[in-house]
Amino acid sequence: MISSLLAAMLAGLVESLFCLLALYVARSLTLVWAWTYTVAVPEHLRAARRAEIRSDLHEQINQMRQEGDRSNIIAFHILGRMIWGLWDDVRWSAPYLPSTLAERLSRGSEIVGKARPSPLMVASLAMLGIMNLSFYMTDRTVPWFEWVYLNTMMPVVVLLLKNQQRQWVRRLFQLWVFLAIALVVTLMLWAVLEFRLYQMPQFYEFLLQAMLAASPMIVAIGVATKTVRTHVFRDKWWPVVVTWVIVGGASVATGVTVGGNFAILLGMTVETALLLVLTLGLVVTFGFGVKVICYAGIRVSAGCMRLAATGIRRLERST
Amino acid sequence: MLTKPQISAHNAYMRRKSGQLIPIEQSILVAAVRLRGQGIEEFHGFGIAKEIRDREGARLLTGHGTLYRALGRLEEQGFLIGRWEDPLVAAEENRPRRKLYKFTGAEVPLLGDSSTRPARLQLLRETAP
Repeated sequence: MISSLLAAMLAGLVESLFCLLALYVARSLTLVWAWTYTVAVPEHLRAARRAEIRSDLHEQINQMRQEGDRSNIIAFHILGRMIWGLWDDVRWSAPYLPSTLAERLSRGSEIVGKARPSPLMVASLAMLGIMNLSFYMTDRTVPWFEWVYLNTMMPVVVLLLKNQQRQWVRRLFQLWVFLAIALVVTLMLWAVLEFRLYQMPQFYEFLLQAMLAASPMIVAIGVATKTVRTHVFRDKWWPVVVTWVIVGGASVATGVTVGGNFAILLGMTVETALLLVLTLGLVVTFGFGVKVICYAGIRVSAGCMRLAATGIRRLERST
Repeated sequence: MLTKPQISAHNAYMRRKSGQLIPIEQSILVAAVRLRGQGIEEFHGFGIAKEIRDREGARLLTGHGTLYRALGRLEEQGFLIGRWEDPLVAAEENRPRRKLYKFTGAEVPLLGDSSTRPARLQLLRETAP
C-alpha cells in the first residue's frame, strides 16, 4: 500500500516536472531560434529583436498562468507562435545576411572564436583515441549510433562550457544538467520501487557507503564552481581545506563504523575521483574539435541562408 | 460573382503592393485604435497580439516573426512610434523591458477584399478619436 501511494505521488511529481520541462524547452527553443536568425543582422536590430522576444515570452507565460493554463499548454502555444512566424523571421533577416565570402568568414570568426589547441587538449585527444580503440577491441557489437553519441556528447558539453557568457548557453546547459539529474533520480526511484530494494538491509548500507564516497567529490565540485567558491569560501584556500578535512574525516569514520572495512569506502572514493578526472579531461579535449566543426558548420549554413535570401529577394522583386 | 484567384482582391495570398498594408498590419492598427478608445495609448507586442486574437476570435496568438516584422514595418512607415520603457520600471516589476508602440493617427490606406473593407473602414470611423 505504501509503495502504491509512493508510486502515485511520484507519478504526479514526474508529470508536473515534465510539464515544467516542456515549458522550459519551448521557451529555450524560441530564444535559441531568435538568437540564430538574428546572428547576422546589425547589432542594434539584433539586440532589439531579442529583447522584444524575451519580453513577449515573459508576458505570455505570466498572462496564461494567471488564466490558469498548465505549463504544457503554455509550451504548446509558445512553440506554435514560433513555428507560425518562422518564415517571417527568415524574411526579416534575409536583407542582412552576409553576401560575400569575406563577410561570411568574418562573421563566422566572431561567433566561433579562434581555436587554440593546448598540450592538455592534445594529450586528452590521444587518451580519447586509446579509449575508442579499447572499446572497439573489447566489444565489436556496439551499434553505430552509440559510437556517434559517445564521441559527440562531450563536444557539445565543451561548447556549452566554453560559451557560458551567453545566456542561452547557460540556460541550455542548465536544461541538460536538469534532464540528466531528473533521469537518474527517476530511474533510481523506479528501481527501488520495482525491485523492492527498500526491503533489503544491504541496500541501505550500500546507499550510505555511496553517499559517504561522494561527499568529498561534492566538496570538490563546489570548489570548482565559481558561485560557491566566491560566496561560501570567500575565494580563500583555508576554508576549502578545513571543509575537506571535516567532510573527508566524517566520511571515513562513518564508513568504517558502518561497513567495518575501510577498503570498500576507499575503493568507491578512488573510482569516483578517477571518473571525475576522466570526464573533465574528455570535456576539455573536445574544445578544439568542436570549434573547428562549428566554424565549418557556420560557413555551410551561412551559404545555405544566402541562397535562401537570394531566392527571397528575387521573389520580392518580381512583385 | 467574381471568384478568379488571378484577381488579387480575391486571392488570400496576394503580394504586397507599394504603399498599402497587408492584413496583419491592418489588424494591428485597428487593434491599436481600439485600445486607444479604451484609454490605452501605448501597447507592447504581446498586448497587441492578445487584442487581435480576442477581437478576431482566433485560438492562437500571432506568430512572433509575423507580429514583430509587421510592427517594424509600421514603425518604418510612420504609422507607429516605438520606444523602450524605462529600465527602472521593468526592474521594479522584475520583468524584461518592453518596447512600447503608439499609433500616430496617420491616414491608413486599406487593402483587403471587398467583403472586409467596409467593416474595417466602419471600425476605424467608430474608434477614431
